Amino acid sequence: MNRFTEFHSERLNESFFYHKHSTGVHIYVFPNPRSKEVHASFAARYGSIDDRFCFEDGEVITTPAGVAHFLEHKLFENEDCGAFERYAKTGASANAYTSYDSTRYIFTTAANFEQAFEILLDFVQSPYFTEETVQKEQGIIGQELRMYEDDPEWQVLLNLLKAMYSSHPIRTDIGGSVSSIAQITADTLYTCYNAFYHPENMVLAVAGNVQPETVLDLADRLLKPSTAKPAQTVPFNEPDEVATALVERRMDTGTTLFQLGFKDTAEQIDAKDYVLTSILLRAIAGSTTPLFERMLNEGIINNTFSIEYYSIRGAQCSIFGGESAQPERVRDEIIAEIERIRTEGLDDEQFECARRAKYASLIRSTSDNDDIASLMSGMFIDGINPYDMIDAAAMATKADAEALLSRRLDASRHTLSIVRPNA
Amino acid sequence: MTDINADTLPENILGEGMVWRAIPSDRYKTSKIRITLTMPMEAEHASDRAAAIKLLSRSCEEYPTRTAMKKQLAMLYGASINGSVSRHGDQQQLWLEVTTLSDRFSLERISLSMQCTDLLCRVLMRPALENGLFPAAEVEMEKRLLREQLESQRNDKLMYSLDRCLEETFKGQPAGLDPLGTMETIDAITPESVTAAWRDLLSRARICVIAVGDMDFRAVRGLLSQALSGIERHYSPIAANTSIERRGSVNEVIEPADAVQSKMCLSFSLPEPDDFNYIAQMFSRCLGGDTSSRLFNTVREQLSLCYYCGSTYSRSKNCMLIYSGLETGKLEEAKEEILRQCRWIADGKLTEEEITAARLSYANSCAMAGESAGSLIAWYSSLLPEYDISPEQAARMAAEVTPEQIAALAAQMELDTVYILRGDAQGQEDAQ
Repeated sequence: MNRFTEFHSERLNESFFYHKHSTGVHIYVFPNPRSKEVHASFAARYGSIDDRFCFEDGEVITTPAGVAHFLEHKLFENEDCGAFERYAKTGASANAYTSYDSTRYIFTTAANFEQAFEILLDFVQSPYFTEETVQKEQGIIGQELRMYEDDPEWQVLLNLLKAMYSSHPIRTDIGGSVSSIAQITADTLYTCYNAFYHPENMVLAVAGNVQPETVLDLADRLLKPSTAKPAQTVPFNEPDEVATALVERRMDTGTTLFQLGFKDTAEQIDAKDYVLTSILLRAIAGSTTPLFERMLNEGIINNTFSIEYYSIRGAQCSIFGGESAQPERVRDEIIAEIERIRTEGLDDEQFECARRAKYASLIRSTSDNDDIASLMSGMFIDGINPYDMIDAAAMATKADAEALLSRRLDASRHTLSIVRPNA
Repeated sequence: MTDINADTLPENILGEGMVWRAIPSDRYKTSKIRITLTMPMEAEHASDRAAAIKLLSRSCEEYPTRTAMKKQLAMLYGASINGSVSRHGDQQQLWLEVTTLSDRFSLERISLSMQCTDLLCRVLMRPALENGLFPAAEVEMEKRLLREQLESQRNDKLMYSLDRCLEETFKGQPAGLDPLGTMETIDAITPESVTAAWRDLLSRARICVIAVGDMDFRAVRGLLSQALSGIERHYSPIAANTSIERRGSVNEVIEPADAVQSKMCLSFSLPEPDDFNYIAQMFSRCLGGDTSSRLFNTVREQLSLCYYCGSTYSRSKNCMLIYSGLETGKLEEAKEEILRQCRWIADGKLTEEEITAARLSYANSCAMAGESAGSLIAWYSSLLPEYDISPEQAARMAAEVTPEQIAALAAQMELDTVYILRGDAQGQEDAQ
């Protein structure tokens, strides 16, 4: 274990291990000998928001929306044998997904771990794109985009982000659009692959019934070095103010959905800030609060009411959402309650309920191997240690949460997105 | 405490028609206890029962308001008590489930499992009644929430199309009923009717308690046993009809939608088996279970006819469902290709490689069923009562299924219903 740095949690009585590989890849391993499975993730710090970048020469390259997602689809294909076909011989359950700031290739298996791991590292490091295969994928991805076009929950969020952000790429659908992906060529994919699938920009995270040394031995054999330099992302030039305060549309949906967002000034978030924000939001509008009870009793929210804090590179916002026949009223109630708490402070009991609930939620998020692997990847992508978050929740104070309110939930920077049923 | 193989645990009896299963493990960070109450699916009672289980989960005598209950749960480190209802063939399954952090994580070293078990018993047995009835204001709120839950089913078009296909397949039968009931039966709920439904559940439902995690199982069982011992039971085993009556012709239903993509679901009947039906499980895996399946590799990957195309087998009605999301213009072509793949398997053309991939994939799924308290509870809750099979046992039996058995079963499969949610809307050209 001496090639690894150990991250230990006294509270959970467990550890995960980190090693920076000679190729530059960041490797995290959580050994879980009680488990019958292993979950592995090989991720690139490259997502839908990385549509502008430059190499050492400084020339800015701009790509069509949806390239990161398109690349994720195409990497599974190979000249000889596709990755799914190879995985099928191991029994491993494999998938991949693209988010705003990363692309992850994953598998979970109870047997044949080494074979499945070799497949994962091989196909992610072996790009193969032709104009013919790119064209074929445009049809499949086109249908995926159609599926999300019909999804009111996705559309209400997408519209919120489009309305809150003027130029940050978070305002663009992760998959792009039918017309934007039509512009993607094999050359586009190779350019972006070379820019971002560089070892120094990649993270391996493995959790389950496996030892760190086993993972490292496999990595030594399978990871490929690179002499090139990874691309640099171009800074976002996003104003603090929202672009539009209200956006609404109609769709084939059974209920009215809403998302209410409060835009923060972009900043580097650490574990304490992230956890305190989550606790603050719960203490204001969580299910134990007078606000929630009042809105539920008055029939303007139901059990779909949700609270989230988004922290993506260059974009942070708090979002309240759910179903409501009166979303404007929900907005007004929430804004009024925020201002009341800003003046009068948080209730002691509400804070404590929110703190304990968040603490438990963070512990639960370290229960499953796939969640643990995702958290370890996140440590590379976001710089936040999951154990630090649990400690931050255990030690959070009401005074800290109240102090944070000066940087959160500015009513002058809110946007309401509504999706209503067709008339 | 160490892991114990679930194969070695006997199922205990708590009373007439009441069973108990304990799955001890200290490798989960959460513990769960689920009380499932199963009744025949009955149109006139479905909504009252659904409302009852939801109302029970919100409060109890000791914490008589939603907020008081939520606060108590939050103070128990974000414990949760959820009430839910689903359809399981001809049966309505209602459950109350408590989820809690394992005792070792509480900062004050309290027994979260005992406190949560006590709370679970209270919500089931000692609800917050007024003059012997659920309070009128709470009942009215629950009716609103149920109405909105029913309305929101159309939001998720994939699940909506699956549900509609089942409704059409079993039209006029218990298995075709929505477990929440209808708007009309929801509107008809009264404090009297929902209170009566609660009492009826306690009296006549098959009650199954499953506890998973790290807790003092003897003490937990004792609490539950004591709470349930006060019930005057009038239980009769539920005789479930686990087959589809063959209609002899294909039922086609097309429903319009203001959507860009269409959804197509096909239901098929299979002959009644004697067992858990490992053959059908493997057949479904080969046909459309995952990315190694016939439907994924041909209908989607080779022919680009749809974005997703998969299959699922329901033992509770011996029904195979094939579902897909696709371009409206490719509906007919996709349907023909799907049926061609079914015939291909019936003709015995599955390769040894495909069967092996399905066995490995199924074994993997079974192994993963034991990785969390939630997935274990889901596994045992999905079984018909007469089949007490662990994930490990299921994987061993499925591995013995032969290609010939799968082909023979596929040859007996009969198309029952084609349900299409037809989208004819124009797509948005640019999302930027």
